[in-house]
Amino acid sequence: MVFLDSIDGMDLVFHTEPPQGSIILVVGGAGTLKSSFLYNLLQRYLDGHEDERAIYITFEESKEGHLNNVKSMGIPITPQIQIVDVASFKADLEVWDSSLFKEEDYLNLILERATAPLSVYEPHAESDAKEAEVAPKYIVIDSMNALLSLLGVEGPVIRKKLQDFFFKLRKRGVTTFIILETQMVDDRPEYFLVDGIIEMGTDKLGNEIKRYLMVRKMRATRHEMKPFLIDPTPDGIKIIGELF
Amino acid sequence: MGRSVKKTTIDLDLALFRRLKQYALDTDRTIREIVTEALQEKLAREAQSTDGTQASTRDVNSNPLAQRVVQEMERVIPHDVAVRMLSQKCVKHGTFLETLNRRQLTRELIDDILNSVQYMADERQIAIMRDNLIKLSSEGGT
Repeated sequence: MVFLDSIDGMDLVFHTEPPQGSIILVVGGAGTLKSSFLYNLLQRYLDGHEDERAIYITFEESKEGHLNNVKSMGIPITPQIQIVDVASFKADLEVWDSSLFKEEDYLNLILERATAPLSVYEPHAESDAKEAEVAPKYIVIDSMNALLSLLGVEGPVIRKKLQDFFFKLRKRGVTTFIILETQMVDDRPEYFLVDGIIEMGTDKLGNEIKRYLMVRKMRATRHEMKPFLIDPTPDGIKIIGELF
Repeated sequence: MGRSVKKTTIDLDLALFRRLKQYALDTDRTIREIVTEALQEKLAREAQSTDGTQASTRDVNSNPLAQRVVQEMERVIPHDVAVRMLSQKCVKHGTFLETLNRRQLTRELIDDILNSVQYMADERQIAIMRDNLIKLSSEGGT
């Protein structure tokens, strides 16, 4: 179970596991460990599930930058999480031809990668045959802010587009984590469209600024709604108890 | 260069032909050079437009080898992007999607494709895609 069997202390926050295929928004300001938390969550879970895979799609930061960040947090890099670096792909395309990748292609890319088995291994070495059957169970989209700006639409059109997009993702049964960077975490139009919202933030505790994680909403799941302290240890992220 | 050529005859409007001939004289180039350049530019532009994607999709569907190359690219990028990208790469390498053959699927073209999609896959996937494309380009490939 990706929440209950991964990061130490997550069982304080979650009492049951969110259903497979949930769309979960991870919201918070800059520097609240959203990207590292998700990578760590999946890495810890996949460590015990060798046959499973996840895809991390980065629209903003390069693969190298993202992995350096993860490594600096003491989180091991795993080949079970494939990084799809749209940020560098797009930057490279813009050098020679920006028209190759159109707005609708970004959503198609996510939907196609969500279902495509890692069949690239299929026609090759027999030892890799097993991997041919593996489709990703988890996808991270980093970030919603970058994706929305690439889509080039606004207001009600975006809401409709996201609604259709989330519907298609749910049908594929892939649990999707979407990072949304914002300081305005209280009311967002996206909240109505998703199954779960995890808030990550900072708070002053005495003279210290502490990072916290709080589940605002998680459909069909028993969970706490209090903020919990996050500790970025040299061995990755840990949840160490309630904030107050 | 060793690139093969095909001689063809086309009927041009007389006024257009006169303009072409004058342009060739003014720019000190041959009519053949100007027509080739104009066609390449036109086809590259088409490949970039939405209509161009439809045209390219038709071209891919009419060429089994191009279809196989697109299938390889589709492992890491969406179908439409793969079609548009291959169409442009073909023009860049002096061929066309609908006529791409094994001989024209050169190592340079393969490396160019892989260089563009490298960010969307891991190193192992790229290595496997390279193997598959090389197999396609070889005589024994299917």
